[in-house]
Amino acid sequence: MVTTDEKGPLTAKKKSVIIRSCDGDEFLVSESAAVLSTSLKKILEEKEDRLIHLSDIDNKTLAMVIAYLSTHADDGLSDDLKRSFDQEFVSGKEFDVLKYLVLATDTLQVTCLCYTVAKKMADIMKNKLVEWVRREFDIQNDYTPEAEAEIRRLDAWAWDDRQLEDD
Amino acid sequence: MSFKSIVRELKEMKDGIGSMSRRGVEGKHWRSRTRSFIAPDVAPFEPIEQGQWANLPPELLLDIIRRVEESETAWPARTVVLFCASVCRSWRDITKEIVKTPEECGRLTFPISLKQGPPWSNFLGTKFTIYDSQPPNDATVQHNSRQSRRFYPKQVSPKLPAYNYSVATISYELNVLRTRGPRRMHCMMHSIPVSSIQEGGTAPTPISFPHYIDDKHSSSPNLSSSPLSTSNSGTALVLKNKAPRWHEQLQCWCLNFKGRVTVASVKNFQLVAAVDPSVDVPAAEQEKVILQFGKIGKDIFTMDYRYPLSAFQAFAICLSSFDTKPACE
Repeated sequence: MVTTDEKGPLTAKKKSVIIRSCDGDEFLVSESAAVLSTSLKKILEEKEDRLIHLSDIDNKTLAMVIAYLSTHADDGLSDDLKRSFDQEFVSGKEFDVLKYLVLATDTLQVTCLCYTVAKKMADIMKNKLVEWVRREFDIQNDYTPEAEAEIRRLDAWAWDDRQLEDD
Repeated sequence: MSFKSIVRELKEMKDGIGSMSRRGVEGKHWRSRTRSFIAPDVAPFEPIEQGQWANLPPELLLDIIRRVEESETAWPARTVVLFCASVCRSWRDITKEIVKTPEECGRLTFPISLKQGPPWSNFLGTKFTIYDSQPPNDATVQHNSRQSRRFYPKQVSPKLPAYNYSVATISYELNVLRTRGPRRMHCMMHSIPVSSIQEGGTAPTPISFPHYIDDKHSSSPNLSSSPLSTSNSGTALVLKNKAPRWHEQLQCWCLNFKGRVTVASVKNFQLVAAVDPSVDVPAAEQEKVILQFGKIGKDIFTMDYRYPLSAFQAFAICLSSFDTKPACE
């Protein structure tokens, strides 16, 4: 049996919370992982509640964020391993998935992950047509054809014969 | 997307965090998703609607575009920054907010960059007048702002704009070293105060062209009412040749171009600030080459310029060296 002296901090560390996605899935997360999110940390400080419902994050996105939080809360992993996890984490993810992720990390205020995801999105956006960007972000082109032509004329040095992708 | 809608979205998002339901449940065991659970303040789950991405929180969008901007520092890859600026009006505003002037970041982005000075650290018998059709944004030096053309200057600009602001006068002196010596240039930069190379000084840095498409709604600047002469922030910066040294072995005049110029030519030159002793400019500053230009092959030249010159001013000065000058040679 372990003595109470050792047991005390051990159980405190293993305290966990339940996080519920907007579509009803619940995730058991260690408190040490949850508090890496500034938003969750604030909630946990204010109330003793151990169930947090996130009304605007779906289960798939939440699962990814929690996987990230749990990995980064693991004291047994070296910083190098965590870094390579980060790289692995965003690689190969669809732009659509990243959009939900970036929004979720912004809501939850998981700053490091937000940066990593934003960086990955930026990498994907390179070599894409302006039309592609508009489509992905649901942006209505608010330029008149004349105004757009004028912008292309003014910034002419950007509009050369580069090979750009539309998908 | 309108700014209003961004703000609204942002507000909803923050409210969303605020209304996260918290129930007093000790998380000692896993709650299955089938377990009944009453949460009165929970918004019902709604499938994500089309168009939500158009309302990304502005700071998030700023973050993504900033990453695009930071990762591509060289052309032609940097073209992506201009693409971001052409997506829609708000993206253009955000991109313009992110993009710094060459003086701050050392990178050229929008065409206006050519009118802005590059950073301080990364540099390694005829009279010409350089005209600009636009004034620098913060009015600068002394008198002769809008010179009329009665001085018969050679136009560096191919077409005569509606307004002519004289930004610099370049004169080539008669060769004091007689034959085959280097040319002597004297560049009076009307639009750059000498204080720009003093501690804490700044050069005029326009951040947009007048009549720029984005500025359609703002009143167009009245050029005639804002000539260069409006304020008197000091005398104009004058550039002069860095004195070459006579190389005994090669029997010629030499300047150290740090490998950027490889062919001997009468057109090669380095310009430094010509500072009056009464003006407090550190000696090291006076030694710094502000513009250098020289030949590396048949019809091929390199130009290196640095603060406080802009690419436009530097290029115009270099162009003037191509005119044949019987008086000087």
